Amino acid sequence: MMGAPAQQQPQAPQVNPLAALAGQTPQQQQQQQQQSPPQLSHAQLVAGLHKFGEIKAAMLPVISDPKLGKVNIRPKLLDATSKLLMNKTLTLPEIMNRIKDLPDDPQKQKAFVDQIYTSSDQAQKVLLANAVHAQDSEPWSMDSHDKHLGDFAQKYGIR
Amino acid sequence: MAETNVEIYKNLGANNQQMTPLQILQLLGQANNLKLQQQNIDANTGVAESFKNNVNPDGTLNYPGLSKALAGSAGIKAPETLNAVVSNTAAYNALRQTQQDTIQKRFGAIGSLPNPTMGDIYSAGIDAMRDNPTIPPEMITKRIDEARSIKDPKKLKEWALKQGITAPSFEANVGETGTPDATGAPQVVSRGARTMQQGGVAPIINGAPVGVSPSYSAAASSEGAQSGASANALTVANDTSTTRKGMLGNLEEDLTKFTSGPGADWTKVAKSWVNRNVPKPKGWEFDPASIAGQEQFVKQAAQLSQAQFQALGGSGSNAQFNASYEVNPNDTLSQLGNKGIIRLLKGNEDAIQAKAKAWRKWRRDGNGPDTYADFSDQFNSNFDPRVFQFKYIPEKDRQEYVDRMDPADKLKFLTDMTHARKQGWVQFRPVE
Repeated sequence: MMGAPAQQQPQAPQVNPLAALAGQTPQQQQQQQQQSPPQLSHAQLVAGLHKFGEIKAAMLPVISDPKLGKVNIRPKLLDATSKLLMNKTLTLPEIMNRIKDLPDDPQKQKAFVDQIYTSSDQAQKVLLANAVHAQDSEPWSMDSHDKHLGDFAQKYGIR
Repeated sequence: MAETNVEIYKNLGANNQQMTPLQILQLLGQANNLKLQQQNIDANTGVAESFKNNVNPDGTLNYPGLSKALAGSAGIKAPETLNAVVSNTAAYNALRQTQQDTIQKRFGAIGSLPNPTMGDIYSAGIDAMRDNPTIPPEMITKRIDEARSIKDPKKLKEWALKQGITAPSFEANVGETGTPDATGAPQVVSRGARTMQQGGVAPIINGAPVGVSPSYSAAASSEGAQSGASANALTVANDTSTTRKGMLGNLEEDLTKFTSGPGADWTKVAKSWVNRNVPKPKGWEFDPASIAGQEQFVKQAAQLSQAQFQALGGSGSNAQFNASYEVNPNDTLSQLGNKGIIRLLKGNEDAIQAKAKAWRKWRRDGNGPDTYADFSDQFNSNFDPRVFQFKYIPEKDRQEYVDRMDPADKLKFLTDMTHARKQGWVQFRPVE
């Protein structure tokens, strides 16, 4: 749920959860994959972990709803994404770009929501796996979060 | 020159006498080679299947399941592969311990901050990964998710303290100054005072741990120290339990192979053990290399079972066994027979692992480190060692095993078994 999506390749495998969240095509992901992982600072890593953590936290009530997969959860999902908008985790264009792909079928909605949560979880794991290369930097804080997040997104080619 | 007697080769199709005895022998040799090749192929297939069927969802190996599978499927490659697995199990356990230590140290340190935030939690996770890149990221994300679910900052601090409360090492940092006291003078903060036998992480200001409830302070008292020591003994026993179980599996195989029937040779048990060349886990007093006969085996087994029951805090709720065991553990074990002894020892390892898991859950539910005695009483009131041994009895013999008990004992046993299954302490699968 980040960045502007490129052409849709629905059947292709997701290679990089971070890029998948940006809506990059698998070809774009593979091209990026061939380069070594970006060198991130400690603060940029925290910013990334925080962002994906917020997405997971917002999706958790939707995933935990026993009606997921049985009824239309669009209202509940919109409610969750509005929280992400309010706490500035995502921008309106980012949310609208992804929500427009939300299917109407409850079972497919379940898969859609699961994919968002799983991708965010995988993204956190990828960031943590790269933590060994993290460079020391100024400390992260909520005040500097946007700056570090912007640098992080730029290094991953998401914005 | 005497004629060659070809009668013995008739069954080998040598009647036509166009095949010489030498040719027949060569044919037999080839047949044996083919048989050995087939055994190798079958063994390799068994090894591959065993590994394939014992990979956890997170990609790690399920070592106990792997040991069991290899023992049944790896054929002629079982001994060497099992040795490798046991060695790897010990190394794997050591690696997991270092990972756990790093996580506890980094997350526990957050508990000493006056107002920890999620930013501190993320930083701790990143620092843990930098300290120890072998840590699977899901061990960190699991803690991040737990912390995130805590909205109250005070509870987040308590959560962080709990993460590190049993950290085995936390470097003392005496002299670091904390927040000023009423006179404005900075207070001396000493970090890492060992409040429990295994180590503590709560910083102390003026003699009292910072930011913890009085019950945590009680952990520093003698009662709390006893609780900590008992919990520590269980944790230490649990850490090497998987390795001990693997070794008991090896011993069981050797006992079956070398000590049953006429011509039983106990020296082969010792030799096989030495040949495996597997380092004994810390605290493993059992020394199969010195076993020369039945008596020594029972004596060694009794020593190991005593250590196990000590870690478990007692020999359980089976009154008949307790009464007999306390009077004479060697005789009690003798009556079980060798297979029964191995079942007891393996079952006790399962009980140690189950109790350690239950203790961690008890702590996660918000109970302090000084409550081990209450926890242990509760656990042991329904702990019957026979429940944990039950799965090692062949399925076809289980009904008879239960039917031999007197009615009162049977009722107690079945009640305890039901309780154990509900708690998830035991699951029963086909015979192991």
